Amino acid sequence: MKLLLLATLNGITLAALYFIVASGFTLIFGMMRVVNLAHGSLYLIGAYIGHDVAALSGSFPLALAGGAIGAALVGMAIHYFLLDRYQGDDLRQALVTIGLSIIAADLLLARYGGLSYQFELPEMFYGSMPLPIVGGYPIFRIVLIGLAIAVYLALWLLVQRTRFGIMIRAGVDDRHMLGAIGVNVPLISTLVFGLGAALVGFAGVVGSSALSIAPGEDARYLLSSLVVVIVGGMGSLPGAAIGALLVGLAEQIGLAYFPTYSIILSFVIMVAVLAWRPYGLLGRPA
Amino acid sequence: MLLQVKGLEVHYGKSCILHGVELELADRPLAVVGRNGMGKSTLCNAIMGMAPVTAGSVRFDDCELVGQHSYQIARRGVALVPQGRRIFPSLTVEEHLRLVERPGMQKWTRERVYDVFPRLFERRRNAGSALSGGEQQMLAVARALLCNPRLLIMDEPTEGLAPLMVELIVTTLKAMVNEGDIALLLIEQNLGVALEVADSVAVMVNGRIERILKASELAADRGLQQRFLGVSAGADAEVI
Repeated sequence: MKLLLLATLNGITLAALYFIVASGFTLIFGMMRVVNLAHGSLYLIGAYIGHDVAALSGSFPLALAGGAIGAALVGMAIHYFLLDRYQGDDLRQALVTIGLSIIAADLLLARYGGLSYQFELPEMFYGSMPLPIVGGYPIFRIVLIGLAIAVYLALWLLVQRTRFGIMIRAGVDDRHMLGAIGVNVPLISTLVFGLGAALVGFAGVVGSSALSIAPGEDARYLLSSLVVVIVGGMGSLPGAAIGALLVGLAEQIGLAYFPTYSIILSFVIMVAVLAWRPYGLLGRPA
Repeated sequence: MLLQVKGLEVHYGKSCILHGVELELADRPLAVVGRNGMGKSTLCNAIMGMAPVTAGSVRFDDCELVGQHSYQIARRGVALVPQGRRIFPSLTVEEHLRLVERPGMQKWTRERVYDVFPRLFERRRNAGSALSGGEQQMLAVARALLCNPRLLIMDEPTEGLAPLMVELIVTTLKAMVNEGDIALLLIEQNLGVALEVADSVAVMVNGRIERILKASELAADRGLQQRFLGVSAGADAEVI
């Protein structure tokens, strides 16, 4: 019973992290249909920038802001100079971003080495929170759930309630028509890409505080984002939340009960969902 | 001259769609008619910056439009009501209008659009995908008018609409033309509508403007109608 509860809690907190990473991917890939296989690299870039900012300033909030802003700037540059000209050409975007992710991985390895880093968290996030049955649970992991919910609500409000959100949805429907009514579509696309990159950079700082930063994390989070967005349905925010929960829970419960096979569990989920609903749980035909 | 199209050519891949279109439009409404596949929609898209122009020029208010992004063209005062209406399916009626409404003193505002099309006000919370063809057309016209254009391009606005809707669109267009501050370039299959709204009519054949006639001239000459369009306006014109 205790094991199951613990595995569930771990699954939910991991899902919270996956959701923050994948929410940026939902915007970029799910809504804007920009294939960005350098999403994991943006995660690492955010994490390392956050680490440097924290080392210089000693402030965790500044590290969060630094990671988000740094990743956003890198992301906007990638979109503006390399990806926007290939809009709609999936294969080229995929190849360009795979190339970028290899270059980024090597540059980061050269700068930061192969050791894993961890963040110094503010005092208040240390320690554990007493819970029935499981005993104690790390406070920061609970905070993670709160952060994921905050990101969800903020994104939902942005997309559903603001003029910028209307532009995003209209651009998803018909990019050329949106231009014909006077909206600067390339600018909007670059801004949305920047927002997605900011989210994953933010997630990089949060994730490396909860776990750690090391080379190779980029591929892991790219893969989890792909699975989450495809299982949940392209471009659906609630879908990404459900997808993240499924994947997070499957990984942790699998790890607790049948560790040998846990690694394939998230792919089993993906195959099952796609066989049953080809557009993902909450997706709809493009 | 508000709009001046010279030697305009458009290629899609190897096939040539427009072979040097020549067209001029001052402040009186001009209709472009022609059979299917003659390049009428491509002409609209080319003016709006949505088709690959390979040669020629489009001058609007003494400013070259070829090579500009469509959002820049739109901001100069050209608006398009495209063929097939191209409403955004996931936006509500209200959101469509919020998207294009500009702040400040404008001739066309959300309130005025709702005055002209009360039906849109009733449907303001419905998604674009839930509207009927006629409602979608009203919304497409409203969306274009809210851009407060100086030139409005309408690509087959009456296509697939019920006669009553066609009548409403024609009435709205005529009122707009009479007000006199929006110039109109109307692409129409329905010759009756074209003759009713426009002063002069350009006939498009195989990617060129074959002839520009007074509307009254074309209306009176069954032979010309037969030759250029393969139809007579008789039956269509009665519908109006």
